[in-house]
Amino acid sequence: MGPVTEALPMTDPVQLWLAAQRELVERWMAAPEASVLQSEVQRWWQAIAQNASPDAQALSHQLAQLGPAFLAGAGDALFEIFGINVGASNVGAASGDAAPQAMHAPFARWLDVAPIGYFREHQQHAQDLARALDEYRRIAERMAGAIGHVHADALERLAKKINQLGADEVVRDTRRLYALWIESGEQAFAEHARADAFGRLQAELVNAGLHVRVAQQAIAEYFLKSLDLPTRAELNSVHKRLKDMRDRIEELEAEVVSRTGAKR
Amino acid sequence: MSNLDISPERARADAQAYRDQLGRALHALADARHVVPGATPRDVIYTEDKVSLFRYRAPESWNDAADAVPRYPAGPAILICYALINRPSMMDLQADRSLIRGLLSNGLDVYLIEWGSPDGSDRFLDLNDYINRYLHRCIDQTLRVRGEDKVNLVGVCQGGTLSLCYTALHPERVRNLIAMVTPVDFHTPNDLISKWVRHVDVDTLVDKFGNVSGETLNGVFLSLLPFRLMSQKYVGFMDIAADPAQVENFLRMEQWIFDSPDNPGEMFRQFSNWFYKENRLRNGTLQIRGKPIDLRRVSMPVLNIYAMQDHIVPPASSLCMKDLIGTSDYTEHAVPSGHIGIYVSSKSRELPATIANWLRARPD
Repeated sequence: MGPVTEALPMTDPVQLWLAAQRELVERWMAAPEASVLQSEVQRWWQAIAQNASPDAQALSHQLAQLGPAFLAGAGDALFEIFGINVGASNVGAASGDAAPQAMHAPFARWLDVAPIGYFREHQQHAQDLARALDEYRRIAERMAGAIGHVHADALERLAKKINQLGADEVVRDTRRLYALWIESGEQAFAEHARADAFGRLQAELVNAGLHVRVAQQAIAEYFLKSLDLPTRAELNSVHKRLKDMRDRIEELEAEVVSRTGAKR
Repeated sequence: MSNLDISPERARADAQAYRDQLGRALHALADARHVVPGATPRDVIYTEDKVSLFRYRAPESWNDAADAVPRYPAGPAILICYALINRPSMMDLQADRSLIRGLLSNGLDVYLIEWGSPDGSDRFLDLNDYINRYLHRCIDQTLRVRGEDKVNLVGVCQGGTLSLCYTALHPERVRNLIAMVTPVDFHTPNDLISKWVRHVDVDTLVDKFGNVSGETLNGVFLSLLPFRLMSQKYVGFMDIAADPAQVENFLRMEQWIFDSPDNPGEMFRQFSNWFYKENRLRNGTLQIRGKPIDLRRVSMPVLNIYAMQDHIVPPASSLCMKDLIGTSDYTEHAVPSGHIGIYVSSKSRELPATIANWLRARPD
């Protein structure tokens, strides 16, 4: 790997991919004669232009010369848009808490890009899923923190319980210690779990999980439809219609009974 | 810390002892017989979709389950309407821990509804289906078999809530109502499930998951007492592993706990939103298919049985029934146990006789 990727954190796939593209362009620019890609592009231009008029051939030659410079400029613009900045990343890494945010920024920018074009729907599904997974990860971290508080509280309670034991109640075996810890843990959990904030956080986590499921289901349904396989949504429609029909039949039967006095 | 005196040698010795205990426990699990909940002979007398109505045989025929002419107790009939969560086999877990056996021994003719295992084709079943279709028809069948025009209805947990709704809609068909650990007020201070479900997006959950799996619901119940139910219980198992009978009891209970049916999506949506979130039954705003549930129409005798240490249906949730129903014959009976202990605990041994005596005192 070249110097660009070495300087970046290795955990963000989008960052890594963009950095690799930049490195590729830079290498191409640094040694155009040796660039396989450049010669492939030039060969392609020549094939296109081989039966063309002299003017068209001249234009083709001129474009082939401009190509690398144009692509390098476009690459720089792309890197700028997505926030690829080697110097900034290094500063972020050096300043502790800022590092994850700097690393996360390109990913967030990608999620914000409105989907367009022939693959618009695929992009939309992928972005929805990525957004839902990111939301779930963030809330799961908060929940892990809340559970951590329960355990910390349990430890405080355990210490208090042990301190309050009488001289003839000294804890001398691990089983007794375990029993006291269970008691402390359950008491701590009961107090935290009854708080409205805990209930809200738990619901947020469940709801975030639902959003992941919604996004996954959208992708699954898209592919099932393209393969002409039945989807859950289609089955739901059938079951709902059957249910409505059954209810309607029972209403009509009840109406017949009430009008005629006949038994079902 | 002076009150903690465990030396490294003692800790090491304890760990070795646990290792030995764990080994014995694993052998006990490997040697254990296959056990299934359910101990008392019974016959299916009606089925519809996945719902079955059972009638239990009299004690004198217990040793002859293949009897060509089944015998049933001659006393008053009771129809048990259980919850859709877990299975009613808890009421007949094993021969020496069976509420149903106790009821039969007290001369009651016992009928029980099993809701079965809903699948994707049942996801649109709702409260109306369970109350006005399945429960209604099981009552029809019970009355037909007995040649009677009113039933003694026993509602258990969520089944008690359904029974209460049914009774309010059709009071003319219920002679006596017995509610066991039945939630009525879903917003009592100690109701942890209610606190948790209040902010959950139930509509999206049902729209996207359809039925709500038994596994999901089990996870919720376990997380009410996580230290005890996910850790201490299994550490405690090591203490009983040497006793095959206790191992079987443990395994039978484990099977009951985790063999949970899925909940039909629409039913779950309505129960969560209308009862847990909006507390409509308590507030008098519940309607089933446009028909209001007016608890003042519950004018027959009512026996309200609750568990004093219930962490799933807090006593206050059941006890508010007294102020909402229209009967002048209301009895409360407290059992010093938890939500599950009411069926299997030694503290509830007298419960079948209590129910039978209460019923016999109210023949009409």
